[in-house]
Amino acid sequence: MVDIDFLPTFLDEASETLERWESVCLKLENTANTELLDDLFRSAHNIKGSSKSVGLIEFGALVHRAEDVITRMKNDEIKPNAAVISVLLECQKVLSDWVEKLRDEPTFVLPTQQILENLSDFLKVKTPHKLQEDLGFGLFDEEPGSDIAIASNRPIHKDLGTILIESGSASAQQVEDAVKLQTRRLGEVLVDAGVVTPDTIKSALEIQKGTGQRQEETIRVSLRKLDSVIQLIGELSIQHAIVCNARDVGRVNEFSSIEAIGLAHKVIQDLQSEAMSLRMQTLDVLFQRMERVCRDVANQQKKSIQIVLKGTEVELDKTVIERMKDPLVHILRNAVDHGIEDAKVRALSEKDATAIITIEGIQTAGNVSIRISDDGRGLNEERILSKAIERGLVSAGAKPSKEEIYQMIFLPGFSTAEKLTDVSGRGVGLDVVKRAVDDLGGSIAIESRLGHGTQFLINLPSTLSILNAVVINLSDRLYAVPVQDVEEVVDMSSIQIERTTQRGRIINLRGRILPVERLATFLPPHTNDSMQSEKKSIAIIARHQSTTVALEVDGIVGQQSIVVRQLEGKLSQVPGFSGGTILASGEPSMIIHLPQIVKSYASLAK
Amino acid sequence: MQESSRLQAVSPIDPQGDVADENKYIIFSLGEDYYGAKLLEVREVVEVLPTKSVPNTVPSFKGVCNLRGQIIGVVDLRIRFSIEAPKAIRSVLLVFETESGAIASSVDQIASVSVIMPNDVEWRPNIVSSIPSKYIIGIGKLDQKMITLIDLKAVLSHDELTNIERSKMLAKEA
Repeated sequence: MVDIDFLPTFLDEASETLERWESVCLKLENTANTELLDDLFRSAHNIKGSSKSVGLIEFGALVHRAEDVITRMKNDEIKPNAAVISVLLECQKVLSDWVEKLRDEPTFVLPTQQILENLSDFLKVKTPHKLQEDLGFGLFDEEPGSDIAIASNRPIHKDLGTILIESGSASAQQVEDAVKLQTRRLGEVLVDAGVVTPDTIKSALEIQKGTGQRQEETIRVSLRKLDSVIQLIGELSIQHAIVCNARDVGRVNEFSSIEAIGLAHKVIQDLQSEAMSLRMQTLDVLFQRMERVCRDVANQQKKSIQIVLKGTEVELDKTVIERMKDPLVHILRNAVDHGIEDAKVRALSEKDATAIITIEGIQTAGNVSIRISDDGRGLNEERILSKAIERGLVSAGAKPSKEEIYQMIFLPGFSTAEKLTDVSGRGVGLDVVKRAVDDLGGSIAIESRLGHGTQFLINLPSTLSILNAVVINLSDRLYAVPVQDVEEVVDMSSIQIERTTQRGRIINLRGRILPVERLATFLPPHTNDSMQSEKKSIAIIARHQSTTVALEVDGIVGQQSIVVRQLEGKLSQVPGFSGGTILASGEPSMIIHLPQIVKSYASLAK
Repeated sequence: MQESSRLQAVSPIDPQGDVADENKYIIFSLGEDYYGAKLLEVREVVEVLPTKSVPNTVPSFKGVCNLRGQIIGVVDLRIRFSIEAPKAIRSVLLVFETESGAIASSVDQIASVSVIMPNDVEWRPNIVSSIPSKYIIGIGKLDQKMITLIDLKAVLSHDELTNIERSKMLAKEA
């Protein structure tokens, strides 16, 4: 029985230890020394122990096997060569996937036959006797955790089989037979055997979810940061006490209390930035994963690549890191797959046989940039342009600039690879990357020299919690618009508005022809409000992908930095908004999601 | 200062003192009628706060308010349940914590917190009313009065708030 109370703690700990496992393995590939081996052994040993204590028997068995291999390396019985490290990395991957699965389904069991055999290959060398003892699955005689959980009346997670038996959908015997056959999920086996219908399994799984507890995200915070927050709160309460005292004795306007209010203001600012920094994480874990991706793809394609990591200590908001994971993997896969030439081609162009890919984190004021550069073949402008024309993404007569041509690789439906490879040709293009970065309010710039390499510079906001926003007035309501979404604010009274068709209006903004639309078309006043002002002399210029539009608003109130509040429940699904905030006046206000508005405009125009 | 606007515990009419909390209901009025909601599900009761309406939402969605720095949506129960009555002089917000977050509903007045024992409730009655019957837990008897017990938490967590009929907005991808 899996102990559901301790499972989340175990999973967080295991993910962290597995990351360590990965980084040590990657180091071991280059330099083998006993310290690294000891480190690896500790990782394996820790996970083995803790998985056992939460009742993940099969999980523990796999780690145990890996630990045996590591022990033999430590004892110099086998050499830590590339083959062993590869299997250990493979094992790490299996365990990481397993951990992710366990978050949703606490009774999940992954088939481990293959990886166990791969690991055993290394144990077979020399001492076959010892192997026999270790092979059996009865590695842990007792099932720790199960009795404790029952005794202490905590919510116990029921496994799927139990639920099905209790609801009478399947007999105990049928479930037991299915479990014996289990190399796949129990539900699938039962459905195939015709015992239950897929619907029954579905509803049983829902019951299972209900009995499980809601999983909470956790984050590791340095004690120094936490202490500093506590310290600041202490200072704040001192200032608060001074002001309260002044109020009680009727001397609020005296110097001491005015000074206290000023000090409190400073402390609050410090506290805010310190509290924000609690969400920040260094880039090293993310970069390590990228290194791993490059290594795997390079091995697969037999390319020799050296990966250089820089600026791993730069910090970024946890959410931003999470959301950048897949896009970065995508860029790197592309770099290794398409960017780096084969050894033969490299030799012809007199380049070093080993290619270099640099992943760098750069801290700038308020922003963090991630730079990915390679010394591969570079982007071929002509080919990109002709491809884009061929796919109908650009009109044939267009004369785009170099930078504009590079940006075309982010267009949906664009893929320059002549043949699809298993690595980066999975039907998803780089447009996914662009979209993820756009959603975060960032930008991507590309530089490239044909034959010398390509560089992606991804600019990201370092935090999502505080935004610089333009406060606008629309139908007598105030809204916040993130500054990064606004290209420009235009005074429409000084610009001639041309009428094209019945509805269409356009302006000529310094030679650019832009369509004009009222923002209220997308955000009409609420049915209960009758207010509607007609004074529309200001427009904000917003762009999303290839559409740029001038959106008329009733007025601009000003610019201020706002604290973003997530909207909860169904409110978060109301279109046109990305969040809420409290304005300086104390009134609540919605944050307008301009890209979505422009997207709606584009679909309207079609 | 906002702290003081929170109503202090409404006097519990609970002579026995040891009644299980599950049998306690918060009784409120909408127009001329009285309704009850499970007390345990109510996170807090606050005096009505200024709300700002939000475009692209249904008529019964009053808007958002600032509850001690948290942005909370407010559903107008009078409109939601099509209760026609002269406008209330004042109203009160019942704040619920649903699985997907906090949301409030506005009601006219809180009458009391009362105990209605299971025996005094007609469970899941089959009646036609302005409130969808799936949201009616039962009809409770309290001091000769009939109280409609509503599963307000379900109403608030299931209701869709999006209404894009009047705008040209694309619906949000789920």
